[in-house]
Amino acid sequence: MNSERARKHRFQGVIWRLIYGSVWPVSLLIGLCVLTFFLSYVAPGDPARIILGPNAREDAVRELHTSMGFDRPLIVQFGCFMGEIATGKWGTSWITRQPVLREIGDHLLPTLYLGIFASVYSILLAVSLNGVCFIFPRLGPPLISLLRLGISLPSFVVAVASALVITRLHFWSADSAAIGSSFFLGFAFPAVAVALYPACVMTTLLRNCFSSIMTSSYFRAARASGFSQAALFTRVLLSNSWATLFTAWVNQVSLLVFSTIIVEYVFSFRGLGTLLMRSIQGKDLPVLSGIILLNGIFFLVLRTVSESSTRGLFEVAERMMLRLSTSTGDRQ
Amino acid sequence: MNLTLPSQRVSRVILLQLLVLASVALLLIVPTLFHLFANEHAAYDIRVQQALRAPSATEWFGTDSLGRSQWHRSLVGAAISLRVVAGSLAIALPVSLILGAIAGSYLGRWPDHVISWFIALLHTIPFFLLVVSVAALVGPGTGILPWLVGGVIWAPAARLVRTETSRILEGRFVRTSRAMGASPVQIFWRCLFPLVTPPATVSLFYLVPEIVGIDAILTLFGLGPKPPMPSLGGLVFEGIHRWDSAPWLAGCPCLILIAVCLGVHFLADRIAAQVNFGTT
Repeated sequence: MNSERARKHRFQGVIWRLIYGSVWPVSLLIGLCVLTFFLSYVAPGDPARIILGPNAREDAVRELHTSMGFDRPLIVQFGCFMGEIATGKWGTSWITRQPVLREIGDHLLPTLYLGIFASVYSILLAVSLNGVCFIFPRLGPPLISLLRLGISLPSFVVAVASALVITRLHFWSADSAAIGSSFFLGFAFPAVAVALYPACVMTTLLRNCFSSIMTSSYFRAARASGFSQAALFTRVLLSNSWATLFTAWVNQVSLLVFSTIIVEYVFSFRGLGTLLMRSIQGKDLPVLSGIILLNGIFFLVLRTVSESSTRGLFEVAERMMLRLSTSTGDRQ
Repeated sequence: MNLTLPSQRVSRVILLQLLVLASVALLLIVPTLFHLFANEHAAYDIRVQQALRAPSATEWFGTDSLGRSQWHRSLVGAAISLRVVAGSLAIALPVSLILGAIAGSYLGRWPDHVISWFIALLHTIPFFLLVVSVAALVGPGTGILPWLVGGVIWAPAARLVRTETSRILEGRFVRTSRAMGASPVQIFWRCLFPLVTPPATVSLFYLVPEIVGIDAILTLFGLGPKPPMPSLGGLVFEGIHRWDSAPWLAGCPCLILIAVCLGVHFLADRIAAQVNFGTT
């Protein structure tokens, strides 16, 4: 009877946690939509005048103003805006007259590829540099000084400097990022420029995490029970640091986006950065709002997933530590 | 009535406060210093016959494509960019202290939920994207930039202040002060404020390279200072176009940028070291 009541309470707890956990991101999503809408609404100047240009006739401007619904009450316009988001249209570009989502889709791939490559590089660099420092401890202090120097610099300086170095390398050329079989691989070298700054931050954070693990009793127990350096690194240090590494990566994604725009500018890629620049210079507010909304949704999903999965990773890490301490206890 | 910290920590906290004050004052003074050393005439005077001269004893940073002194342009640009940085920090620090302290004082109640919601909302969009978007609507210029940047970068510092506040309010000395009849305002000024200001300042100081980056990307999008007024980021991006023939155009302003960022990081590290000593 008691176990049944406990199960019922646990079930209710899970349901409440699910409801509360979904209300928070949904409220943030609504807030994001309101913010994006107001960013477009408070823009100075008549959108119809922006679309038709400064030399357009007054009656033509007025006609377009009415036909696009800019004369309707604010709440009706917001309703239409939300409706367009829900139907996946996200408005129409004032410059190209194309749906915003299609415009974004046309420019998404280069940015996405750069982001994927840069994420992989930064994680690999953080893990491998810490591995080298663990095996050769003497390399630690100079490497940390170098990393601190990298962190102290503005990310755009690191991105620009490394992008300029990469353009000098002969094995990369602008043509390699052209359409063709090498389209994906063409972003492999420019992505290094995006990855360097986040890699510095992630390496430092991972090293701090390693330092705290290395002072723990279970690490000393594992070392005393004859684990090899490689086993210590993979089974004790790395397996207990995934949560930190993942959180560090999530926190660096906004910097990845920032550096991606710089690298797209230096390498003349036709990515989201170029679209952002065009929409700002042409006052194409629907596209600008679309880019903000897309970024907002992306980060919202990422942070929600990260928060829930980090909790899960911590639980897994705890279980692994328990298993490890049991296995070292067995050996002893 | 003694509402202050335990006596053995008082001198440490006062020293820490002085260090924070000196650092903030330094950050506010540095742009003026840069401006004092810069010769505005040399920074704006066009001398086409002396265009693209390499760095020398007379022209330390060389000259740009219009023959203007890159050294003086870098100093003027640094003054303008650092004024944006100092203004942003001057706005973000009090906002983060007040909102973070309110959220931390009412932990788990509606003021905390509202403030945390706004902080979470600001974290959903990259800072630079929000600033660039609002700047695009407002138009180019440097006057509004500190307000825009300060209006978004307070969020991480406020989150830190919230956590610190909730921790400090549990402290024995705060409970003693409260039991002795201290008002919430007195507790804020005499117990909370001295302990939460240094971590908030450190957290904002660590954001200085990011603020400089925002300033640079605004220039890239044509939303920074109006030409011929230079900014550090603008000089770097202008220099990239001539990287092969005149690398000093981008490289030399980068040196000033790196020196400033390293200096600010050094200050932040020193305060952080004192914070760890003073509050533990």
